[in-house]
Amino acid sequence: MTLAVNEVSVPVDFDNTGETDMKPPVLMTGEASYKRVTSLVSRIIEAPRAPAIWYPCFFLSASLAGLLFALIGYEVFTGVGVWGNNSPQGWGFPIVNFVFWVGIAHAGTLISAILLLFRQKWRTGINRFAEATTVFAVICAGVFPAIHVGRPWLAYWLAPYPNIMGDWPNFYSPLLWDAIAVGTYTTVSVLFWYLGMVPDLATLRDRATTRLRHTVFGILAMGWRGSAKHWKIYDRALLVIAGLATCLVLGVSSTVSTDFAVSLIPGWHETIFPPLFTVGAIFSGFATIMFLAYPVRAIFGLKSLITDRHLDNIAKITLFFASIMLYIYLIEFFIAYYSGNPYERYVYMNWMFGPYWWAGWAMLFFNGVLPQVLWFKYARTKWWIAAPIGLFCLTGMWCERFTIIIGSMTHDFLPSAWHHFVPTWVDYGMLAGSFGLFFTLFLLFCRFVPVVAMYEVKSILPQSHVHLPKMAGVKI
Amino acid sequence: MSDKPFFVFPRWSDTATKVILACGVLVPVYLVILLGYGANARTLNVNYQPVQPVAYSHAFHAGKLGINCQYCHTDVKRAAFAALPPTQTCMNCHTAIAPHSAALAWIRKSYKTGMPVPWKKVNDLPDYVYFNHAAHVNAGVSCLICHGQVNEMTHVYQAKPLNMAWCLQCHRNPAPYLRPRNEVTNMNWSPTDKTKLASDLGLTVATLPKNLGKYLVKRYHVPNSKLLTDCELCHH
Amino acid sequence: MSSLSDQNLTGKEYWRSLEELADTPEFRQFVQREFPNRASEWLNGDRRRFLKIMGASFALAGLAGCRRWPAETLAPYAHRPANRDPGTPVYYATGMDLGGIGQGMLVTSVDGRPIKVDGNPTHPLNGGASDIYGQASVLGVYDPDRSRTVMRKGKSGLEPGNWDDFSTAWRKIGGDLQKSQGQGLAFLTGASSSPSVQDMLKRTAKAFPSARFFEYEPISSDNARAGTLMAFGEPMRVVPQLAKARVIVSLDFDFVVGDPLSVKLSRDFSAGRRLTDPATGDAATDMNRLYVIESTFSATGSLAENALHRIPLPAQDVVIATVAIAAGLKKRGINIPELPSLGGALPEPMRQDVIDAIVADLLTHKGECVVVAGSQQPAAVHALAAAMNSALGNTGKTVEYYKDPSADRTAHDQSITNLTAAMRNKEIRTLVMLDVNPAYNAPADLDFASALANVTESIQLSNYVDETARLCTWHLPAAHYLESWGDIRTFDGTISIVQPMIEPIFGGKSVIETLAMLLPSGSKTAVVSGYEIVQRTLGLKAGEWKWKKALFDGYIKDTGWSALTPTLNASISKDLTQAIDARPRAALGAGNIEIVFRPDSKIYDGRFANNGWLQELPDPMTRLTWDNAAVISPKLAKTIGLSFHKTQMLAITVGGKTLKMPAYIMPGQPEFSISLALGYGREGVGSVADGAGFNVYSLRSVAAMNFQTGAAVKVTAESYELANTQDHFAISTLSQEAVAARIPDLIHQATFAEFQKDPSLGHKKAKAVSLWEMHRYDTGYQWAMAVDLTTCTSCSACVVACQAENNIPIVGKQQVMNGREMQWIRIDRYFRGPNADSPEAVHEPILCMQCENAPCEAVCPVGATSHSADGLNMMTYNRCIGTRYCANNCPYKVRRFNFFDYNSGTLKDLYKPNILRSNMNDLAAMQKNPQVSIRMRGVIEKCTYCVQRIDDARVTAERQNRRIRDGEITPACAQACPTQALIFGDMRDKASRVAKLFKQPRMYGILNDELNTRPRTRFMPKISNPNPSLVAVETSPLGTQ
Repeated sequence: MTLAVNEVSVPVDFDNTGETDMKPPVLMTGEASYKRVTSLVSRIIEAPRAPAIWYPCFFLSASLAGLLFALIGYEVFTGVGVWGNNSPQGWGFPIVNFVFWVGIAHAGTLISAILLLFRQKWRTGINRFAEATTVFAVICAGVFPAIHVGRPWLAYWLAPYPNIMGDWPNFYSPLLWDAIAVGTYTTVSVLFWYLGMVPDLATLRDRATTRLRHTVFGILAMGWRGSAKHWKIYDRALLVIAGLATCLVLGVSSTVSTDFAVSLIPGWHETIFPPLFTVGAIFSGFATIMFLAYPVRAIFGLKSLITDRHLDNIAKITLFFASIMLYIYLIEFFIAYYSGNPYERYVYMNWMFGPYWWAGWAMLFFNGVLPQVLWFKYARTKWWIAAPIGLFCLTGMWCERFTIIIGSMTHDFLPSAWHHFVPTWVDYGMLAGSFGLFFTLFLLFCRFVPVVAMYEVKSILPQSHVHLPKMAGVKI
Repeated sequence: MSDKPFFVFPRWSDTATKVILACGVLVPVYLVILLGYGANARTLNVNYQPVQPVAYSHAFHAGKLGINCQYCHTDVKRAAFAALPPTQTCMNCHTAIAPHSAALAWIRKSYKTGMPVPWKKVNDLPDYVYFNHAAHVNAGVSCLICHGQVNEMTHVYQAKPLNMAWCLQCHRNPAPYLRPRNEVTNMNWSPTDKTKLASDLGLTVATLPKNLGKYLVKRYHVPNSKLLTDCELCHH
Repeated sequence: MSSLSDQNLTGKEYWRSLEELADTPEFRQFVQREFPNRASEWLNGDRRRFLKIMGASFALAGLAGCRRWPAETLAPYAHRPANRDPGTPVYYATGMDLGGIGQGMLVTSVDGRPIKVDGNPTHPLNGGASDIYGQASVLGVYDPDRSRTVMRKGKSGLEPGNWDDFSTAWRKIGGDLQKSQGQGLAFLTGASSSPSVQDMLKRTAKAFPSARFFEYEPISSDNARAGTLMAFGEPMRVVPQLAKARVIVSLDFDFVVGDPLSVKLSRDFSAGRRLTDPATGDAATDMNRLYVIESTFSATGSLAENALHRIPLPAQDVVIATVAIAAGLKKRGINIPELPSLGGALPEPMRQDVIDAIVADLLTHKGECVVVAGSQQPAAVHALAAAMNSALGNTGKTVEYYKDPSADRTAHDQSITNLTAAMRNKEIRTLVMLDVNPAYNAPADLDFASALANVTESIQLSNYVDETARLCTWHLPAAHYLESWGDIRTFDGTISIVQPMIEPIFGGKSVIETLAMLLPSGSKTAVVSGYEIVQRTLGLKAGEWKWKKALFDGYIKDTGWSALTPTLNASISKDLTQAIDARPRAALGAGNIEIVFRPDSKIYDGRFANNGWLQELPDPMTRLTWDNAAVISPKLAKTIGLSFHKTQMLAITVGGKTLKMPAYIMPGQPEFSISLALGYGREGVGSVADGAGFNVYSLRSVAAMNFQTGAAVKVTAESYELANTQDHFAISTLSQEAVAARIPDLIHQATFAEFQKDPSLGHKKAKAVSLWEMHRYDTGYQWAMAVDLTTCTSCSACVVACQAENNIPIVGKQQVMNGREMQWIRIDRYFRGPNADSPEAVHEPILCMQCENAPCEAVCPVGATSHSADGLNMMTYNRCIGTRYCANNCPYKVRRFNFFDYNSGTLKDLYKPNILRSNMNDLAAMQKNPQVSIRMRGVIEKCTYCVQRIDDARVTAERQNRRIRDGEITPACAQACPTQALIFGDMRDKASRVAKLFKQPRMYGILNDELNTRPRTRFMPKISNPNPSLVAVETSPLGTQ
């Protein structure tokens, strides 16, 4: 077979979503040269100023993040009472937010790890900032469990360590599993993210024009020289961590779900929760990326690296998981009906028709129904459809957490104990603040760290394929 | 690669890496040890010995004169609090003995004015711990176990760490710490004197139990260790 | 102290270089002092080792200041009183007076602080039980809002003074009065049973011959007096003996809650309803039957056998029902005096067949039935009740009559009217008000306040600087009954001595002491201390055996009166006819609404308004806290267009006066009758009372002290937020149905007939099959509690008792609305029945179930809640980090969380960070039970079966080489319960009462079948004994409102 130059180097707005006879499929539009990949990504960091839009966004999210920490201070010094939590509803917003963010924290690892194991080349365009979302989401999630307890300064009692009380934590408690799971996940995902950046950091170091940059990136690159030996060890290490991360992706959300599944509250006591939470997590993760990818590539001019094909694939995966979600929801309702248990039945009725009906329906519609639009390629590839859908899915996921936690707790066994949950301004403030924190970190990341894994993209360019016949015009 | 790199890791950084890694392991270990030792009640509270308003010497009264603990701490067998003696008790003797001693200034003042002597609490438990002297003393736990050789203390100091882990040693296995009830205030008691022991227990040397601890646990209705380690036994 | 004493030796001071420090003389001295037994070795011997050790410990000492907690000082008595063991509770018998009826109390005092009040076990009235007023009274002693000094009217309102100021002033005033024989001097007192008070008043009268004496009580038993006067020719005290009664007809008498006799009446009532004798385990062969005709849905109403045994009637129509019953009896040949025929149809929803059934029931139980009438019913009803009782031969059996201690006094409403009249005509220049607050609780139309302006010297003795105090020229702080000597008589006249537990904290004086002070000095009666006065009145000498015995027993034997056996007087028929016909009975309607004034179930007539425990206590029926509301029927609510989804303000207009207050829609309320609880809407009394509820006295008039027709109500645009502990929100139909479906599971119910047919009531022993081996509870003690839903009257004494015993804080209205109330016991209330106009109500006390398979225990990450060897579900506050997972996972929702530091600062600044809030004030601290930890913010708490009492009992038992006896441990709730609805004990001890009850097949554990929690708190179904001819049609339950 033969290849023409223009087939390697397609126009920037080339529609690469369709199936072509081109093997491998075009995953970079525009001039597909190593040099261009490097410059496309590096210039974002090397530019003296960020794109104008970056500054207002950063200011907004930074101030929200500030609000978050101010409110945390207020809560710690005053008491859990500043939230809307009450007698039947012990957990309220903090845990809703926690589960929500933990969920989002799943796409990155999934893309990088699982797709890496499956040798999916297209992941290279997006895995870097997918992993970033993971790390930042985990950080946002990590904020809540520690501060939601009544006496945060004693939270370290969860740790099993020899002490003068001659006492151990209770290993039966899902909260303990939860803490361990999330802790592990944070470590691994940070490692994975950083390790994946090393060669690119080295690239930046070498391109650096100022002493400061050179030194900073130099240290961060840990003396990466790109020797064959480096690469050999590096690939192996990456593979091992990918393996670990993959287990965690499936493990963490299942563990988080046991916080609820292990209890006996109707609406929580569900065997289906581990898969539901895992699927939900991955789903919300991909929704996040679907939502973020468009602005990122638009603002930083990465259209030819994050191509329509990437976004198309993401949308397909989102659709896939959305459909599983829909299925699980229906199963849940059916089982509730089929169990004949009046308490179960009532809780699900209450989800959809009780005081929090809006959350119930938002959950069902945004997570299950709306994504079905993505069956259509048109919807998958048009930013003004796909990005909003991503946002709606996120809303839906938050509402799911809300429904499960608040919809169930406020109406459990004894009607005399029922009580509505009314969030306070602190609750809303902290919710907004957690988004602030997330975007602060994300914006900093976009500005100062290579948004796309350069070396990985290079590795999938046609010219990296040894079997590809050398010919004139192919720039190397 | 630009021609002349601004930055390359200097040679020493290899060593530095090793050192940093080593510290990463050793510093936490050191901290744990330091905290474990320093924050430990043993370090913080054992031998705590405040100056008392009156230089009362247990070594002299309880030790040399051999006055029984209960002469002053009257409630120890029937109440949760052993009770510090009222000034009255001191004056029982000191109206006659050394009535004008400067050391007794506070006592006389208190006796006259009715104003209490502000003793410093030495063996102090956290307020959420409910300790009952009667419960222990009547189970045959000697004063010695928690207060140490008070009869040899010129000025009382805290002899035992009195932290939860320390309490639990005994609560998990009380038998070895018990002795006949009527010997609890005896600071020099030893189980070796069989005849004495027998008479204490109202037995004959022949009928003395092989395992004294086990025997006393049964005889004094000491609860099983599950109950003895129930949180609400001490925290309510 | 030297600069290096244990306190100021903080780490900062150590740091500098250890070497350098180690050489300073003061340091050597410090080492000598602090570590004498090691000093030599350290200072002379091994320096390096010393520095090593010190290094480590000082590093931390820097943080910990060498102690993990601050050094404490111990202050032993200089001279310890006899039998005073430091820290060991002592129990004293005393007595408390409420509205002229005393009850014997037993006070727990620790180191001289009264911390708990219970019923005196040997006292004839309460026999160890108590009501919410007694339980909560201890909080009154330590109320920081209490009046602290004598005050006199100055230019700028009241100015603080002291007792000397007053006595000097009085020497002048009193002197003049003496000259004028007390001309223009008047005394106003409340109803008091105290012989000493009566005696002192007599002496005062002697000293000031022309002084005038008035007595006023806003909640008065005068109608009963008038009724007995009508029936027997002299006023008497009516004391039903419900224990002997098999059929009880209550005419608007809520006898289980809010009546001075409640404790006795509930006790006696439950005696006839207890289906299993806890002592023997034998099943009862008989059960009493209760018919209630009432003007608002009361706790008593909820005890009626079923919806047909409870007739909701407007207060004014109760007399019709009474007459109808009497007429029925007469028709059946019972000798009832001639009655006016009221003619016309019976008022809705009264039904002839129901009346006939009642009549038949009364007839078949001659001599063992009783008709009782409520104090707000007019004299005629009381007279008629008396007539029926004597005609049915109940007198002396199921109802007793005692002589009225002050038979000749004017009725309260008359008395207060006369007084104000006299004040207006300037006949009174000096008015002494002892422990009364007329400016607040006198009928509004008298306008006492303005009349008071005509009095030159107005002197008031009161616990608070209250509405009246602010209008007086002198305010004197009163002593609490736990602070002063005194005496009381209970219903049958038995005398108890009131002995002080503590010096008057604010230097207050009791009524008798004040009277003694007002008496002309120098006269023979110059006995000033309450102590002496009481001895003089009772003719006892301190120290003599009789005196000691009286104090020990808490009452003096054989000081009671013997019951009278009065006969109906001839003129009764005439009087009745007059009395009944005299009353106008305009047909009620939306335009002519009746309003009923009732004592509040919690704060009585308002005297307990500043008592946080009572303010936050949910009303048995409305479940309201911190407020009173216009209780209105659903029908009327619909008619006037009241919203069922949010609380709206009603404008109630009667007699030209209008009061705006929130409406509360109550099923079972008579259609055109609105009931209003008195005692709220206090102003400037205290942080608790102020702003709670609305002052209903402002609608009250002398003409209609109890109920008034001709009221008009209008729904206003304003809405209001009520702090309700149940159904805080409008319940959707969806939830309605769910609730209705659950009630049969949560509250098992049956009739006495069914019970006799099958004592198990169809309960089959469900065999729980477990996948793993269950924990076995077959050693030692195994604590458990049996709750009898049949005898529970929802009086809530247990709730307050628990609060007092376990240092449970109050959280304030806002937090109750947030669903954060802290009481460890709650008494759930559900409605059942076909229609919202006359449903049944059922009550269910919910406390920690102490589950053997406790869901809360598994989920706590730090193991702060775990299971004890004797089957308790333990809660360890100091280990709790507050994840609230246990509370979430508790299916009974009995766990409470400290959302704020409720024990510090005030309820108003809860939302301030701790560092900006003051610590717990010393007064509040004085009431706390030293045996129970004060919980800080961020920890969970819950019912522990009063484990502190269990531990004490265990220690005592071990000391005496024996097992704990059954009944030796009684949790606070069970101790307070007047009906023994709560029985606690060791379920492994076959002989124990609880074991015998647990053997009953009808016992059930809530949600046990669903969740296999195996609760230790088990319930006996609510069993009712309906008249066979009045068995309600089986209906779908109504759920909550």
